[in-house]
Amino acid sequence: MLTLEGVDTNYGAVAMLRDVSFAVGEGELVCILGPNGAGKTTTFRALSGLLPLARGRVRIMGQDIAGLRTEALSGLGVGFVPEGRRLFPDITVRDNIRLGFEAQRGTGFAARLEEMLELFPRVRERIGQRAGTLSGGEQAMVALARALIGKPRLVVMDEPSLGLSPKLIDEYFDTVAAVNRQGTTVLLIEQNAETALSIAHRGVMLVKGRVVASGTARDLLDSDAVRHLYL
Amino acid sequence: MAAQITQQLLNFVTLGAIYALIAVGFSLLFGVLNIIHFSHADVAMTAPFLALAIVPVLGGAFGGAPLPAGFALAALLAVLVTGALGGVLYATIIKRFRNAPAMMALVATVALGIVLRELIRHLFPNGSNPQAIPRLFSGSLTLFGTAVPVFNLVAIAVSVLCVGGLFLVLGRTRLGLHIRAVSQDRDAARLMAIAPERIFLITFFIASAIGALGGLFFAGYAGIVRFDFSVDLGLIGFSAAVAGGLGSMPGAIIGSLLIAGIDTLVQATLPNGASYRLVFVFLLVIAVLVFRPSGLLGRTVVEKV
Repeated sequence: MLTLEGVDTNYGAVAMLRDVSFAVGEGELVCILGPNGAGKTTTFRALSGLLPLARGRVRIMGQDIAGLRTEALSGLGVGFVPEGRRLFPDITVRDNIRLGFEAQRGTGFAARLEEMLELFPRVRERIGQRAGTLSGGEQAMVALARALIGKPRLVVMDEPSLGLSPKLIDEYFDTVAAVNRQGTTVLLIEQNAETALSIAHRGVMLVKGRVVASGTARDLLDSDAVRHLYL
Repeated sequence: MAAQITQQLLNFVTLGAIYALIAVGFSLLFGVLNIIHFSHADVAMTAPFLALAIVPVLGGAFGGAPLPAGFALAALLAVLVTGALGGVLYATIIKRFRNAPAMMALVATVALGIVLRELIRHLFPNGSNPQAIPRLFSGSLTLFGTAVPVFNLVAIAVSVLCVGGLFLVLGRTRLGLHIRAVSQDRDAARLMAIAPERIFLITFFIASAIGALGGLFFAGYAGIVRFDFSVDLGLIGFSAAVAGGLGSMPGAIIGSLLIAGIDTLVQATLPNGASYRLVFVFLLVIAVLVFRPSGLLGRTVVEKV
């Protein structure tokens, strides 16, 4: 569903990737872990086409994204939750979610919106407000609804739990796990390794732009590399 | 006395309406692309020259159309051509400065404005001399005991319709939603399948076409047009947008009315006021910026990290 093969990026002085390869198969929940500056957000930008690759290849749904533009990716059935949610602050919650829906060429907006509001009841009372007026937790819900409403086959999330309270983080990850169980493939880029590995099937560990460990969630939780860096 | 006040009020609203047609373009382009398009008024002021150039072509096609009607049609075509010119200038030149430091975009668009003015001067027959603009919508109506020129009413009505239409497009249509999304977060918009380049091109077309109407009415109000009229119009339109808060559409309108108000007041009350109008207009702009640096309706600029 998503593969990176030998990806290098050049990104000025900020974290860059060196020979990063991993794959996310249909139905999987894979997490990308790593400390600050490991290249997690660079990975998100590289696989979404926002950052050009210096070398290597990214395939989404079997298509090499080198020939595609970022704005074509959601049409392939990919939902994005970028770092910091990146909602449009002066646009209403409803229209923010609608943009995600139209991006994935969904059909039947009203019915899908209703399903999203059942999933995130607190969004319902905020639906007419400008997204910038919502709390961080509410914005996280809206960003997830915006990514899910078009029934994507793959969802890519970058640090979705950042800034959420521990209780909200648990709720959020429960939702992500439930979405995955219903058949949506998930790539979760996350600093919070223990929580991410608790719901993931597999994990990939980045340090300084390189893959230093990868394997099943169980193996990674037990591995010295991860324990040493994190837990 | 009452008639005179009505007359001045009419002048004020007419000027404000014309300035607003330019100022909303400055604000829209800044809001969406985050660049100051200093050649915006120069693009807009090509419209009256284009219209004058199109008239004989139309005359040839229709076997000599009567002047006012022919000019009206030519003016409409000129609006579309000017909109397209804005799009072409974006795609060929301005696009290259979109991600450059603000100072480079500023110098480049100032230079582009000079290029446009000088091209008009040299390519238009007799381009250094003022050109007469055929009087459209001549005649006047009597309202509240004052003779009101139809031209002023048309200028005000067109401005209200255009600016109102722009608000509707931005606020109520899918295109407007996409324009706002791109202006608020370009990368997030791309992740939502919105192509920013397409939006930038459309925005340039809209701003330039609305500006063209401003240029046409500005020239029509004066009865003449000269290649360098765009200098004053550009400074006024830009100042109106800045005083109102660059990026804010309502701000651009309020700024335009403010400048038109001072302009009219100075001309009506001071001896030899017409010579000093720009002095007071720009003193006012400075005053606004001293006390409200981000403009009347502007938001405090937050440094992007």
